[in-house]
Amino acid sequence: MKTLHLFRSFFRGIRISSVLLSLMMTATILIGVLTYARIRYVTTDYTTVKETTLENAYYIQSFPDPKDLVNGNFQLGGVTIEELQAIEQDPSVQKIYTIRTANPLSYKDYGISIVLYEPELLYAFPELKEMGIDFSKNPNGCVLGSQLFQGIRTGDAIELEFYQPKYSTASFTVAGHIQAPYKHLTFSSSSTNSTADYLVSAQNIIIMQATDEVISRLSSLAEINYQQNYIIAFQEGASQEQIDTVLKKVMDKGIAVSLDDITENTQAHVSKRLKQWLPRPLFLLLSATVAYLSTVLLMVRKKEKELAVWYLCGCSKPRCSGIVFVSASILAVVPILINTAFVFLAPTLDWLGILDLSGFSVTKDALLPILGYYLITVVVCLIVTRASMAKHSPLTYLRGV
Amino acid sequence: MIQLHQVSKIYKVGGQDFYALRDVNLTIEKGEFVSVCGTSGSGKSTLLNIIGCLDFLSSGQYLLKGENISQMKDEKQSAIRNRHIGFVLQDFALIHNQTVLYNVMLPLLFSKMSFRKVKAHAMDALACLGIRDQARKKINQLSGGQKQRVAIARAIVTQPDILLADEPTGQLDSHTGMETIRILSELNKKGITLVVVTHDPTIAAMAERTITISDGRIVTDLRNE
Repeated sequence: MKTLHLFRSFFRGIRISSVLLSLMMTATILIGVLTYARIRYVTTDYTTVKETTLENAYYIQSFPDPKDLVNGNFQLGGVTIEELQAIEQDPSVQKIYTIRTANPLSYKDYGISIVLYEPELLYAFPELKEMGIDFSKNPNGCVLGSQLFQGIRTGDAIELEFYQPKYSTASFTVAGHIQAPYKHLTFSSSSTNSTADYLVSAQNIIIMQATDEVISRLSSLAEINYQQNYIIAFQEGASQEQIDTVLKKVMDKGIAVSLDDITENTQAHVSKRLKQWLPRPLFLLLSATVAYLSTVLLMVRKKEKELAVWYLCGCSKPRCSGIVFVSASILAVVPILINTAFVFLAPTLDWLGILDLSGFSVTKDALLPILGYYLITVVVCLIVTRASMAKHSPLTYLRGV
Repeated sequence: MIQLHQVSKIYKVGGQDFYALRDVNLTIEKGEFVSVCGTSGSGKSTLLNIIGCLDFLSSGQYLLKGENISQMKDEKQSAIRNRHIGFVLQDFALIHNQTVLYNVMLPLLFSKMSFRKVKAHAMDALACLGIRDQARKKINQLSGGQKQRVAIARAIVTQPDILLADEPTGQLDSHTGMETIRILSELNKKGITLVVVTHDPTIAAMAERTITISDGRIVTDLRNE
């Protein structure tokens, strides 16, 4: 209580400038957090594709005719599963990867989809596990990706409502959670840009493994369809001629882009974005830091006579320095706490429609750079306050107080 | 109470040693009223700073209540200063944008006293000096005499053993100055050891003993009649 009194007295006469500085730092750090979130959003896509274990793979994207969309005939870009299975028999083909969805269903009256990944797909894209899509402990469970599922823990049962062929409910065990913004691999978007952001989607989702048990169970509850695109992975030694021969069979229904090209295109796309996004927040952070340190220095200078009186009254020099340093750190702590709260609340605020965070990946990873910035600022503040206070002895001021 | 043995304080000035105090030997008993006189730059304030644990001696020994202060670190000396020593300075050494009460509370905020008792003790000290009603006023709203009373209240709030006053009447008119010295004398009569640095021979004569310093050395140490 006594020390709080001293902190309060330290800010006397500089309250308005302290508040303004705190506000400025809060806004600057928030801009930094959002930029970090934007960068994470695009780099997650890049990493997902870059880290694939597939060496010689092509992503086949189709552009469905509007008639096909109406008729619902856009699965696998119009290629039948039998045709794909025949292509998979080709000696040059290692495997064809598809993704299925199960619809319609809802959870507590909110419509949601189930995306079904083949177990081999999870091995092919190990980054999916880093996102939280991990069925190692529960192969037939479900991984949840939505703010809808807040409070549900891994191991809990979740009841879903299905509507076709008739209304029914079914329980599934939760195998894990994906962090907001719930990024996952998807084969449902096509683009001539051929970048990874069309392979990774961020939306409310439930993910399951397409095991025999899951497929068998879901078949009686919902309609299961293939997403329109797929990946053909070729054998390591497949020649370009063999690859072209296989791709010709599907090219009239879509375009084929190698995963290597997608990775390269995405890298260029991300680099361009970084060059666009980084300079301003870095400049603002630097300016805010300089403003903070200048203010701290001015505060210390302004308070030096008062600190001399503290010394006279029995406060040792290290204790004086400590109180000054902690008071100065408080200025930086408030913006840090506000931004930390933002990181934790962002998914909820997005879910409630208060904020629109599409294109941002605000996750707890952002806490690390926030903490890093705080530590650097505090260390520099410590050096600055100690250097400033060491310049003059309290006696210098007491002689002329 | 206060014992200085061969105490010297040396400053480096332009690469050369300057002796602010040189081989000072001094003993002040408990409850004594001692005045310290000398010309400007003779070492009076340096002597007071050493006695008050505001500065470190360069050589020699300083015993306070039998304890060797000379070897102690800043934290310990500050604790002693907080508990046992009160200061009254020429320029009052008050925090002008704070209240009277806050200024008087300040030494107690650095002590081990609980916060609940701090305010009560501070108000008692103000009452002792007859300025309890000024508690909520800012220092810059007070007259010189009132400011010095606040300074004295702050100096005695921890019930120290020693009061050190460096030209306490320097910024006061003669009437207010004498009033200040009267207050300090009253406190001395209650048992507080009082050391006053002064240029004023009238004030010096009020002490039981007058020490004269010149060029960092004690030249005379006489009991006053």
